[in-house]
Amino acid sequence: MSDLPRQIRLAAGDYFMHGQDCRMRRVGLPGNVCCAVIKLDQGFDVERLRRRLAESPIMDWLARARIYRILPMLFPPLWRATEKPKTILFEHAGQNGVANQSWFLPEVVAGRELHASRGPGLAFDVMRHADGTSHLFLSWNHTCLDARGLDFLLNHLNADENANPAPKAPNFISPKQLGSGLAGWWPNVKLARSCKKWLDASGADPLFSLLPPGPRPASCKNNYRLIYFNEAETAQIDARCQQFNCGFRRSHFYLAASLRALHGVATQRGNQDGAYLIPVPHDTRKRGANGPIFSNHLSILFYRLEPKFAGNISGILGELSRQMTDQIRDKFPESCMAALDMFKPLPLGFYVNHLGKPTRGKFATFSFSDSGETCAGMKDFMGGKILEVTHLVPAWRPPGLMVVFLKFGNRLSAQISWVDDCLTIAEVNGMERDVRQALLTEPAA
Amino acid sequence: MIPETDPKIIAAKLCEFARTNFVAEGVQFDEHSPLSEAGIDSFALVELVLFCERVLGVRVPDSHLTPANLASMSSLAKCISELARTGQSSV
Repeated sequence: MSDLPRQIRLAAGDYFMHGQDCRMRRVGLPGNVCCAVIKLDQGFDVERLRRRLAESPIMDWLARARIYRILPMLFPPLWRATEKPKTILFEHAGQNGVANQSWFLPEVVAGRELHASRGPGLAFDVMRHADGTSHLFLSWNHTCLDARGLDFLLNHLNADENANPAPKAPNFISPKQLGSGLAGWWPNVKLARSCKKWLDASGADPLFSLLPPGPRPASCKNNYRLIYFNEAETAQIDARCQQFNCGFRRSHFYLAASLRALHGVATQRGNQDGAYLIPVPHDTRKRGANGPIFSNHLSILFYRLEPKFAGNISGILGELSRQMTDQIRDKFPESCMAALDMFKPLPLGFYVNHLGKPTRGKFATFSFSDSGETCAGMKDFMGGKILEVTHLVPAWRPPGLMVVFLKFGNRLSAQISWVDDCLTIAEVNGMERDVRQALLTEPAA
Repeated sequence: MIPETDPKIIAAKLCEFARTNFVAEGVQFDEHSPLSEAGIDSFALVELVLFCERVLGVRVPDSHLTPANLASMSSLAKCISELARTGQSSV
């Protein structure tokens, strides 16, 4: 038996993600729902997966968890495990024929409704192909899990049944989220103030935004562009990180390439003085830990770059390094999370509007994340060799553009997701060309 | 503040800081552990650099954050010790 509690507090990052989910549904998007697409070779045993899902107390809890709130304005929301678990594994046979290199997200997966407030927050879709290969689509509402948590969850499911006894709560839930007292969520108001002050000042000056002017559209669509780098290209990018003296700051190199590509779009659109505001999440788990699985464990750094720095990679890297050091020195990430924690009691609509206030609804220029190594240490899943892993992370609106980097094995990939009214295909083509050029060939200054 | 110059003491302090702040309990980590394998990323690196400023009294410039100096806590400690001895980067 596990020692998992019936209810826990929402982490500040959870409510933030729930807020983004709400924003996205307002414009007709399917919500803040991500999908890990895992291509598996022959030998994948779906019955073993079914058994593991049924036996795992973690999966049982996840399938029953939903957001619960006693009284808005007075109490922050909680995660509560309901009595009845819902179905989370769906099997589909012969849908695609053969698992080709180019594939489309099946309708059944793209249209799956996953609400954190109704539950369940995640679902497994297995597509069996005629050639014996499979696609596993693991869709999850970002309110429940972050990418690293998903990695831990996959490792937990894949572990040998005998060597993997019932997990203890600390591997699943952060001890900080246990209990229901009010003292735990009310943070230091003074600490939160510096973040608000910075965002107010930052939003007062012009910001570049991809959002078209005018009222909010009723129906938008998310689009994805996947950029794969082979092993040789990935090794070349790693070597170039060293050339730019950012061996430990690969994320900065990826962010610099993405920003420079967007700067190209902004220049074409005639942006003169709008600065680029980019929130970058950072995983707060300790290195080498195997949990917590549940919730979003993040802190946020905000980079604000003037267009004059955005034209060349070295200039961007210098600014990123300076701003990161200054913000960590000033305890900005702690301040940011304290502010997010403090606003948790606000009803979702108020919360969402409140977060957008400093930037007059723009929120950011684009969202960026480096998920790092995915499926780390896993060569197979439930008996099938893992051939490819892709994360589809939808773009929030605002800002309308999301860039995510991840590594599987020795291969890097980048995902550009955008909302259809914010970028054109031609602009995305230009961004892809520019990202490739910046990462692979452009000489260091 | 008088900067610490003994590389062994510096390495021990750096390891203690890493264990307290970003390396999980139970993970084998000492002054010779490769930092690249210990999951040290940009955020942890900056925290480490700021710790050097605050506690050891030495500012480590970006130009010294080279792969060789960041191979392990031991090599980083040697770099910090050198900076402290030459007085190049005292806070």
